[in-house]
Amino acid sequence: MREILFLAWRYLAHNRVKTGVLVGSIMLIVYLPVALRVLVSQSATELTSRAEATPLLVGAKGSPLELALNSLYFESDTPELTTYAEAERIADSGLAQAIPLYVRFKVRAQPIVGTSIEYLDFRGLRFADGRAMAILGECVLGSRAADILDVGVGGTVITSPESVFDIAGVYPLKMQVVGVLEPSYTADDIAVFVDLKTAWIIQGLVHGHQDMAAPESATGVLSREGDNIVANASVIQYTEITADNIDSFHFHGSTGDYPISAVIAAPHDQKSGTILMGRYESPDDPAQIFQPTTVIDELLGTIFTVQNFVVAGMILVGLAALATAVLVFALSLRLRKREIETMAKIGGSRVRVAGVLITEIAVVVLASVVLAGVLTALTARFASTAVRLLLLQ
Amino acid sequence: MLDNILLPFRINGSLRLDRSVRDRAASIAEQVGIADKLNRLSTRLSHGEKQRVAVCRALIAEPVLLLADEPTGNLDPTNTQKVLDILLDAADASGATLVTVTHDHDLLSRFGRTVDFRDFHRATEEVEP
Repeated sequence: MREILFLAWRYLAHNRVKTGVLVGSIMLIVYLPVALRVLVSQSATELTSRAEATPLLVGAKGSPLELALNSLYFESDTPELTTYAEAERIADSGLAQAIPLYVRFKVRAQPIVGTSIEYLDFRGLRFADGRAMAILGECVLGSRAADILDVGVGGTVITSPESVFDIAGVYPLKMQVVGVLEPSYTADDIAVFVDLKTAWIIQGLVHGHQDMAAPESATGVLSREGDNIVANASVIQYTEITADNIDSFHFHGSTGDYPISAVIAAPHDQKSGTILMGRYESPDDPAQIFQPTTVIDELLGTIFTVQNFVVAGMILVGLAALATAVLVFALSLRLRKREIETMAKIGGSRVRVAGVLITEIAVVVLASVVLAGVLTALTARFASTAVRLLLLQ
Repeated sequence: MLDNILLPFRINGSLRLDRSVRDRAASIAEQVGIADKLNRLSTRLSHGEKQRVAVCRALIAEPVLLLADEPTGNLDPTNTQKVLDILLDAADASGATLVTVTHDHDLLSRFGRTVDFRDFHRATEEVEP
């Protein structure tokens, strides 16, 4: 057996290019479908874990998938908006902790997440540098957002318009970066966190401008009736919140009417969660409540169906490649006819000569499978990080 | 090239490859003048050198009957004598029978018996009507 292995090895080593191509081809045939399964399975785990860490989501009635993707991964278009009153409703119920989210605006491509400070604790986010946002106009960056925006604590970021053609839209707001988070390998890494009120300032609902009661603002006043002053378009609206102008920022109307995109509801216990869900059963209720896992599981079901098609396609391609490999072996035998005849003439039995040829094929297949196994193990080992980074792209 | 000479011992299950066989291979290669090319690939040998490798491979298993078809066909006169010497010496040493086919009439005197196939042709022509 040792001599057969030696002869097989010497042949393969001598024809190293052909052997390498064969090993590479068979390795890919085995590796690709397996690696795809590993990656999809890991993606499913990552997506599910984020959903599982979010017990209940409340938002305006509409697409739950859009709401879940927007609230969990800060992706997709802005869903139907609800109002801050919804967060107050949940908090007042005493059944769950209510964490409001307003995911709508961006700093370049990074999503701005307007929320309360409890969100950072809820997600277990820790600071690499700085502190949480404390006053209007302050923001905290996810680790990747800090890298992409190339800014750290003490720097500033400017909000982007929702549309480049929206010339009459909201003013850009310059915000102070007061903290940078440690990497969590979740969507939180790409986000710019601001207090909910700052998000409303970005939208222009809360704003600060020059004091129209002051004598130097008289040229901007159109009419004055008691405390009610009507100003013209020359009023200077602040685009940066500083110690000097922070007191001029004010709300118009009730905060309960201000928009948010969703509320994360973290029930105190299972019973509270069930009761809370029951309160949204009414078809007249403008809000919906759901468990994000249900929505994400449906999404994953679709992904798995697509994956099955891809794997089936890969298996077909693999079979074709395998047939080609068999053809290569067959043609190789034909080319080696004289070599095989010589081995027979100098005393090699048919079984032994066949043994050499079969061993050559076995070594190639074994090497391919071992390589595919090693690559699959490496893929499984690093899939978690790779998928997290991929999902953050 | 050494692997090529030792091939009978690897491909034939009844032969056992050991140190003495390797030494014999080196010795035969030395005798036919290719000892310095033992580690060279066969693709980098001349036709004559390949032929000498084939002679070494035929002798390595010490056969009792040696059948050689034009064993010196591509060799220069010096190597022709060398290869013929080694074939004859090997046959003498092991008491083997050496049957050779050759077109080189100068070599005929080195053999114990010669058969001229032209005689067969003539005999055949006389028998045929």
